[in-house]
Amino acid sequence: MKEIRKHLRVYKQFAKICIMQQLEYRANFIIGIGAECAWLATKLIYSFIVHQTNSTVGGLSPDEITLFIGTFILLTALYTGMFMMNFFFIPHRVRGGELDLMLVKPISTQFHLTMREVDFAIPIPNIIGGVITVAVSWSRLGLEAGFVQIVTYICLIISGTVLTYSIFLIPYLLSFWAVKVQAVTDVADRMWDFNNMPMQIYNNWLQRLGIFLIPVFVIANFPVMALFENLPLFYLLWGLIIPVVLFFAVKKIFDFAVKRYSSAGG
Amino acid sequence: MQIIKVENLKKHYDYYQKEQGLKNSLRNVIKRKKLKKEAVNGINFNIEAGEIVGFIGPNGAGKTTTLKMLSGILFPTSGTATVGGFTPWERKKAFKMGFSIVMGQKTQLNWDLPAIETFNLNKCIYEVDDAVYKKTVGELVELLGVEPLMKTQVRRLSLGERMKMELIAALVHRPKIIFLDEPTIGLDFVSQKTIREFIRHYNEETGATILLTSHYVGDIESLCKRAIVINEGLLAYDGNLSDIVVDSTIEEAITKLYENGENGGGTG
Repeated sequence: MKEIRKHLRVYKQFAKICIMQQLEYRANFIIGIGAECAWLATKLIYSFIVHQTNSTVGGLSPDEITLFIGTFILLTALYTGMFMMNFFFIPHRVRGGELDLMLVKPISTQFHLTMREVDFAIPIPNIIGGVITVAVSWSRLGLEAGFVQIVTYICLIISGTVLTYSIFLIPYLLSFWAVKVQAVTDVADRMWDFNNMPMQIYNNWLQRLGIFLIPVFVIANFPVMALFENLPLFYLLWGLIIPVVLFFAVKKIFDFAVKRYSSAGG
Repeated sequence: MQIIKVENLKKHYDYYQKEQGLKNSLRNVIKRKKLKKEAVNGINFNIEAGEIVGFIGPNGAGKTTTLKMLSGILFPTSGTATVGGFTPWERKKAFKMGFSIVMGQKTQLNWDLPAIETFNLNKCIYEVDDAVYKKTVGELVELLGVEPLMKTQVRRLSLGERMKMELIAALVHRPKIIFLDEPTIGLDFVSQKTIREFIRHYNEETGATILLTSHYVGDIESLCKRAIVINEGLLAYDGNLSDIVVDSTIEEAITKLYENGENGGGTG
């Protein structure tokens, strides 16, 4: 418990340093927010189009699709704000030997390497946009917004975030073996876009693969399905357990990978 | 008390060579001939608590690799070592809390912010009390004369100023064992002198054990009574500096040891 509290304090310090660092380059910070607003707008255009044409996707109504889009925007904010830059830097830090000075610090090396950078410019518009989109579509659909629904939704968002961390970190850990892994990480990054639309647009086999083999569909689909009361108990349990299992599996892979670290420059 | 013990420590790397040209790049895609580099090849030494020892050798001799093994950054191929009673590559928290490494060619400072932000981060990472932190940083800042630079972003500091900040960042938690890997590399004469004086003062004040690598004879001569010379992964000399400079300058004596090492004259 003491160690968890310490790591939370260190994380607060990381976040503080990152925001100060980003504000040093205010033009870049503001342009970053602007660029992300443009991305947000492209996502919201989907919602606008389905509403205009009154189309259904995989049996979902325009408001249901909008709730899904809002959830995806929210999860993208968490992924880009907390993990994405850290993951991008892993091959560079392994190849350039920057990991040296992380390995000697008395905190978890995995935490240090994968949580050191906190981005603020990218997630700000997405968190605001995501929360508003979810709230508006939730209310338009007349879905119950009681304690149980809100807690279930938040729990599945947290599970989705843990799952995102685990699934998308694994390809970057290959850099401990192959040093440069851009080809693999590019494929993995494209996988994030599988959450762009509800999984109902894929056939049954693809849905099963995306739930059980590489559980990428669990991330954004399960929180929304739970709100529609359309998530079987088995799926709910899977959605809560698989992130924990994968998180510990990734920790094992990380511990194994870091033993192979050969540093650089002597 | 022996605080660092190294026994038959080896680090071998696998690597492959690439012949010149596109044809060989294509050939490499299919088959690579694995080669072995014996960066450190069975060295032994012990260091007493409170000593400052010069760890010297030509480029590629295995100095940094040894320091990285003693810091727990690298796993050895074989051999044993204890640093402050711990096996470094087990990477235990208690071990990490008690030592520090400064690498002249690597930085832990945040480039875009004043160095004080890194000191604050280290305070949090090393669980240093507010009062102890204020006192330690205050003393170190004064000793190194960097008060006027505390609001300057690291990217705007000169190399010498940056190295002073690196030293403070590494000493926030008052480590008892310090590895300094070329801390004066690229510095002008005045900065080198300031850093040497600081290292000596820190050692006298705290009794910290310091293992120092440097290519500057001045560093070794002014700080270390004892030198460990490594060449091609083998120990070429371990003893008092004064014993090897009887009838020659220190540069000549060390060069001779390097040459002996190249001819297979290691004692390690």
